[in-house]
Parts: sequence; C-alpha cells; structure tokens
Amino acid sequence: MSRHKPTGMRTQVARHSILFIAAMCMIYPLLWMIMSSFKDDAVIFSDPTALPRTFDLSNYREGWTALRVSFTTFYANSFLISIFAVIGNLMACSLTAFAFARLEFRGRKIFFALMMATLMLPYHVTLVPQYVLFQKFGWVNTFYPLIVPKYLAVDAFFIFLMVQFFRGIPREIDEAAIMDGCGPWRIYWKIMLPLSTPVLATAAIFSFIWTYDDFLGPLIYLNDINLYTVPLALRAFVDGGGGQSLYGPLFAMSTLSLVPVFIVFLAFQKLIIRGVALGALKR
Amino acid sequence: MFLLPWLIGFFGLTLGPTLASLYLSFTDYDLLTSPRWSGLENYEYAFFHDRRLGNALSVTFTYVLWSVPLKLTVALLLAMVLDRSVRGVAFYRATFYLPSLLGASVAIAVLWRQIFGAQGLVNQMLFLLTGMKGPAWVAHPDYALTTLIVLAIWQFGSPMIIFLAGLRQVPQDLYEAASMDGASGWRQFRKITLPLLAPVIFFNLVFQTIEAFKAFTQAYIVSGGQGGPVDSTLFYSLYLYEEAFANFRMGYASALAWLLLVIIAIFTAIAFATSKYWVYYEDEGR
Amino acid sequence: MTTTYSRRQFGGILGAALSATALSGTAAFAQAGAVRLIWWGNPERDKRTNAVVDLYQTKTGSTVSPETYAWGDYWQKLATQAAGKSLPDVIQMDYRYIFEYARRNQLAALDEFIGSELELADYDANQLASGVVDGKTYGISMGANSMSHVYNKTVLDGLGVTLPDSTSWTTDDWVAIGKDIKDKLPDGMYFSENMGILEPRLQTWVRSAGKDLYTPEGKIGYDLEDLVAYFEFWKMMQDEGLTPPADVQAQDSGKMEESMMATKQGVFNFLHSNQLVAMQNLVEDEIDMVMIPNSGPNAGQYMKPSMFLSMSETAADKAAAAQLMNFFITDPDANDILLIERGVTGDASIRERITPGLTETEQKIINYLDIVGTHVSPLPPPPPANAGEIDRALRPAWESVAFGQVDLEAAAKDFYENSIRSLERA
Repeated sequence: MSRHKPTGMRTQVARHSILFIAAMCMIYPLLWMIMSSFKDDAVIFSDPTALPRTFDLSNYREGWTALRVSFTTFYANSFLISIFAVIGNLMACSLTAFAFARLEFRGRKIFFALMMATLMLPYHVTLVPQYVLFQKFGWVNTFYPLIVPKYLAVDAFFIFLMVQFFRGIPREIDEAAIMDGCGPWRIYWKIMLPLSTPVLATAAIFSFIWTYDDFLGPLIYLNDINLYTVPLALRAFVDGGGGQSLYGPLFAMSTLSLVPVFIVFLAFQKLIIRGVALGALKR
Repeated sequence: MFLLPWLIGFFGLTLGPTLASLYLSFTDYDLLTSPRWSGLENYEYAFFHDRRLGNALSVTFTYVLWSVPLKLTVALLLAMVLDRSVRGVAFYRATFYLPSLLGASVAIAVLWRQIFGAQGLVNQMLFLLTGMKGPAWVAHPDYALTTLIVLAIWQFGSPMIIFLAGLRQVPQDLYEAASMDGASGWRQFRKITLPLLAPVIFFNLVFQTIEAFKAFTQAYIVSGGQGGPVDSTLFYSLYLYEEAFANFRMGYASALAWLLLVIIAIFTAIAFATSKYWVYYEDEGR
Repeated sequence: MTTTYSRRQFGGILGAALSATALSGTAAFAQAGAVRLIWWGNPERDKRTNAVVDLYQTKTGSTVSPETYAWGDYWQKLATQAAGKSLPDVIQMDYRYIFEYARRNQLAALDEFIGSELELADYDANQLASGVVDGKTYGISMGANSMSHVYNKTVLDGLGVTLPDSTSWTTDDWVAIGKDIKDKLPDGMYFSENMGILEPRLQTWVRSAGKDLYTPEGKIGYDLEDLVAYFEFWKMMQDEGLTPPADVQAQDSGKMEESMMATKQGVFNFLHSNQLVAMQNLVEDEIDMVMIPNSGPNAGQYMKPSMFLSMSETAADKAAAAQLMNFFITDPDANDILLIERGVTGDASIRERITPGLTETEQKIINYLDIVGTHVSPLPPPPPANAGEIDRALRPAWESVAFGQVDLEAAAKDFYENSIRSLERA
C-alpha cells in the first residue's frame, strides 16, 4: 500500500525519526546537566536519570555568588575577551588567508608550511617561553596576552580554513575586477569578504566559542580574581585533590555559561546557511 | 602587505617560544632552575630508554586511526542531511552542535562516568536488552580508550559546521542540471558534492588528524589526569604534560613535543602530497 | 600611556578595545603593593580563607591579593610562575613539593623571621620540624594530619560488629572481620576499597616492617619482597571479594565523590584525617575513623603536616609576607574562621580555644589525632627528587596486577626497578 503513497512523505518521516533519535542522544547529557543543576549535591550521583523533585533555584543563587567575586564580573570579562578575539581573528586571519590564497610573493610556500607547523607543536611546551615573553612585556595579569595575539593572526587554524574557502572562489571573478581597475585591497574588501560569509560566520562561531571556553590561557596569564573568566571560575567549584566539590552550583553555573555560546551559535549559523549567491556570479 | 599582521605575530609571538622550546629540548630543564645544556641526551632517552613512550604512541595512533575517519564520516553525513530544508532544521543543527559546545568542561568528565560507569546508562540499557552485566567501561583497560573515541565522535560539531559552510558554496544549479539529466542521488554526491567539497574535506581531514595527535583535554579530564587505567588512555600529549609539569622535566617534554611535530608533519606532508590527485580547487582553472 | 601606544599601533577600534582592557589591567596593577597569596582548595576552604584575608585587611589596613585554583591546575600555574620568576609571595605548599621548590631556591628560608614576625613559641616543635629542608625552615605547617581508615559506622552497627582497639589491631584482625561480614553486606557493597594503588598505604605497610619508602640518602627504603607481599595482600582481598573488582575500583580517579565509600560500595576507606568532614558530607550514614591495622611489629603511621605556608624567594616585601603568614597561623580570630579545615593546628593555645566550638565530626578528628599521637613512629626522611613520579607509577603498576594483565611478581619487580631508575635519573 505504501507503494501508492508519495515517497517524499516516507522519506520525510524516516529522516525526521533518524534526526530525532540522534538529537536525543546528543542532547541527553545536556538534559542531565540541567536536571542536576536543580538537585541537591547528595542526590546528583545517587539517582542519575530521574527528574528533579522540585525546580529548586538555590544552586543558581548560591553558585552566582559562591566565589569571592560574583559571576557578573566573570561574564563581563569573558565577553570582553571573546568579542575582541572574534574581531581580531576575522580581520587578521582573513587578510593573511587572502595573501596566501591569491597573492604571489616570494617564499609563499615556505611561509605556508611554517604556518602549518605552528599547528603541530603541542602547546604545553611553548607555554612557558610564551609566558616569559609576555611577562617581559609586562602583560601578565592583564587581558593583553589573550587578545593581542588574535590581531596578529597567530591562530593558523583560521588562516588555513579561510585559505581553503577562498580557493573555492573562481579566479575569473577577481580577474574581471582587476580589469575594472581594482587593486588587491578592493578585491579583498569588495569581493572576497562578501563572497565568504559562510566561512567568516564559521570562523566567528569557533573563534567566539574557543576563546570563551579557553581555560589554559586565563589560568596562566590572569592572577587577580577580578579578571577571571567564566571557565576559570567554574574550576574553583571542584576539588580534584580529595576534598569536597560543589556539584549542584557547578552544574547550575555550567548550564548558564552555555547560554551565550548557544545564542552566538544560533545567530551566526543563519549566516552560514544563508550562504552566498556564488552560483549566480559564476556563470 | 596583507601578511603584515601574520608576520609580526609569527616572528614576534610564535617563533620565539617555538625556537625556545626547540632549544629546551636539548637541555635539562626543571622549570625551577635555569636550563642546562645536555645535547642529545633527551632524544637518546626517548628513542632507547623510555618505556612508557611506546605505549603512549600506540594509544595515540589507535585514537587517531579510529576517531578521525569516524568523526568525519558522521559529520559529513549529518551536514548533508541538515543542508536540506527539513522542517525544524535549525533545531537539529543546534542540538547536534551542543556536545561540542560542552567542550571539555568538568561536566563532561562527570557525565562520561555516569554513562559508561559500572551502573551507568550504557550498562542499564545492556541489562534491559540482554540481561548481561557490563563492566565499568571507562575504568577498564580494554575499553577505556574506546569510550574516549566515542567521546571524540560524539563531539563532531566543528567539522559538521565546516562541512555545512562548504556545502553552501556548492552552486545549487549544478544539482538542478544533474537532476534534469536523471542522475541519482548517489551519483550527484559522487560527481558534484565530493569534488566540490574536496578542499573542505581535505581541510577537515588534515586539521582533525593534527588535533587527534595532540589530543589532551578530554583524556585529561575523563581519567583525572592519569591516563589510566594501566596507562590505557595515556595519550602522547598527556604523557608529555606529565613529564613537563608533574615530573619537572620540561627539557624532555620539549624533546617529546618536537618528535610529535615530526610525526604529524610526515602525515600532513603525505596528505598534501596526495591532495593533488583528489582535491580540486576552483582557482586552478580546468 | 598604554592607551595611546595601542591606538597608534592598532588603529581606532582596536585602540578603544585595548584601552577598555587596559582599564581593568591598571585596576589590577593598582594593587601592586598587595601581598599575593595563593592556595589550592575547594569552595569551603576558599570561603574560610577569603574571610581571613578580609579580616586581615580590616585589621591591618594592608592589602592582600588572593588567588585560588583546583589542585591539578595549581601546580601547573605555580611551575609556570616559578619559571617566570613571579611566584606569589605567600604560597600554600604540599609536603611532596616543598622539597622540590626549596632545594631549587624558589622558597625563602623562614628562620630569620621566626621569633620576630612569626610568633611560634607556642607551636608544636614536631610540627615545625616537618617544614625543615636541609637544616632550614621553608614552611610552617598549617595543621597536623595522619592517615586513617574511615568506616561506615551505621553499617557496622547494624551488623552488630564492634571493632577492636585500633591502636593494636593487625591486618589479620581486619581481614577476619571482613570475611565475617562479607556475606551480610548489602548487594554491591564490599568490605573495603582496594588500597593497592595508594602510596601512603604502602608506606604504612613497609614502616610496620621497620622500613620506609626512602632512606635518608634518598634510595628505596624497602625490599622487593615487601612490595610483593603488599601486592599479594591486596590481590587476595580482591579475589576473596573483600574489595571490589578491578574495574569498579578503577572508577575512583582520586576525587572524593568517586571513592567506594561515597558511592556506597565500601565499608572501609583510606582517608587523611582532615578529609573526614568532607567525606561525612557526602555520606548519609555516620562514619568514623580508626588507625590503620599494622601488618608488622612496628607502628606504621606517623603525624604529617597537612600542608604548609611558604614564602617565595622573590617576594617583594618579605616582612609583610611573614606578617600575613603569622596571621593565618597564630591569630585567634583568624583561627576561629579557619578552625581545623586544613588540619589540627600545632599552636596549643589556639587549639584549646577552638576545640569547644567544633562540630561532632570535627571533634572526632581531634580525638583521633590524640590517639594517633601516642602510637606513631617519627616523621620519615624527606622524599628524594622524582618521588612524585614513583608515587604516580604505583597506580598503573597495581592496576596491571588487579586486572590480571601481568604476573604479580613481574609487576612488582618492574615497578621496583623502575623506581630505582627514576631516582637515578633525578
């Protein structure tokens, strides 16, 4: 009987059920965390699946002010660093990527290889020399070590990512522009950037989330609790050395800390999806 | 001119520490006192005397070989499904990205033990379905690494987003033309999607491989920083970290880091060399 | 001035950005005269320590810049700061690391301050001695501590079991009780956690045989046979079902809430005495502490410092740093806040002052240490460099036995020889 039905309907249903089951697998741990954020510490580990008996917000209240400085400060710091990091990464990395993808200059291949190599060295061994360097600048215990490097395109991931996408844009487009008398700056600004909205949005998402989630950088460079970021503050809830941790407030604050990244993700994914009218330009 | 920021950044901020770590790899450096030159001693120890290094390498290779292909396949499949306009697609995209948002927070560690522990969710399901009692997966040397591979696959959000962005650059009119010619879905995938997506696939492959070789945080958090049980999740980076900061052997750790760099560089070079045959760039002309 | 510099360098938007961060940066620098204090801990300790910091600031008018991190992050941060020669002024130190840091000239010798800024006349001499490295004092003990066996009193009472006098019981007595009650325990609960991986437990084991982990010369202080016997004992416990199977036990990665006691899978657990309050908070049943049964003729336990306060060699104002340390250790009001969270203070008058106000669980700690104090052997020789590495290596070594991957004697031999190699490598 199904033979008579339009196949579109069946695939739709199948697709939805697959997606839905997969989505549940994805979301279960998060639900667990949110549920736990309403529970008392003693209950969190003894009944892993059940819903909380009451929606008790005390973990949120307690967590927000559990440390010497309230989370308001930590959020302000995290936002400040993340927003400037996003701007920096987008500007500096897209410029660099444009150079690698489109311009001819001496040593391009060598520079590109060097840039790739910086991705491969485990960061733990450059941590100490870098710390010493920033200390010489007098930048320890400020946000500079966490922001300034982003404006100098030190994150090879974004450069490499953008190079791959820029190379996907047909060269005929910029050749046409050169004929019209455009210099490289105009090509970069008027053609490359507008045509690369999906990858720029992707880079913006990653840049925001990774900076926002970064733990090691703030741990090493920030001393004053007034400068702490959210992840650094969250670590203070757990005792890894055999003392008592505050799991209820930890989960409450972790849940809250997801909200900004989630909003950023939703906002920028639209830009990815909207895509570009590349096809129209192309032929 | 366009390279200026990168050049400043590279020579000012990156190169110095990188060279410093190369120098340190030839020294005996305990972080608390100044480094002492020791020539090739660190490398000699790594090659001939270090008993844990072999294990760390094999753990890391196993992890790379399993997690990278599986993660990328899942990411690509879901990206293609989510690229179509299914109703509620924005919701699915968001939920699929959620695990990656959690990143390596402490919550993940607790959670993973809740799911793969002796009384965890997996064993509860297993008991319901088969009546068998499963082991404590996270804490068993035969399975602990597998749970970390599962964790890696589960956090497929980043490559998925990149695939999505890539799919958005594929001109839709090509599909329309192909449909008119009567090409099947699979054929469209092979003839249009794959070739046009190749630069992005290549990117994800290279980057995920590099990241998998350097994998640290998840293993650190799930195993409480110990790489246990019985060193079965002692990733290369975890071992390096332990040597550097717990055993005060930053010199030796630097040597380990440079060995890893060489290993990764070989793999990356192979990928770049073979990319000529399967990665096609729009800017190269036809 | 930072602002104009960055403006010139990076242009309008960025300049504004950086001046915003510079503001918060200068806010931090404004405290340049502050004494920097750093400790590892947990929310409870942070609350108490911060309260003392506030009290100190109001009492003296000087400023303190407090920093706190979780144990694992703490040592990475400290090592990086040491490498950059910018350690905080006053540092909470661990017994294991104090030798590493002191011998590498990162810590200031405190002897010149004792008697002036540091008023330690009332302080227990044995406790003070624990902070001495190579003849000089590098740390003031923040409290005494000892290892213990903690047990679920509610469960044992329910079974009608009363424990013998723990100052004289032996491992045989302990095992006999275990065999006796093993079948009466609820499903999934074992007599004890398996302590094979715990170096302090190994230490009490070899000390009761009259040896120790290390000799004063920094060599391994026990014999391979001792280690084999130790592994055999815990393997027997596991095989007899007195301790959990290897994979269940291995779920405990060292966090208290993962321990067999907290997860209701064990009646007995190894614990340091200052952790009793935290453990009691995790367990609904009543718990109590007893001494660790000896496997040989000698006393295995000793009193050890829970943690120290040390001073950085690079501290800008050492006298000010010493004053802050003194406040933590001797000020009555400060200790009304700190109580015994870091261990039982060695200052007799303070101890007398705070004891009546303690909770029942805290009283148990004081009573326990009173008993232990009369049945201990002296402090062991300081651990040699690389002792930390050997400590960590015990875990995989024992686990390879527990999971049956390696022959017991081979694993013991391997660990023993690797330990010697580690010491030689230092």
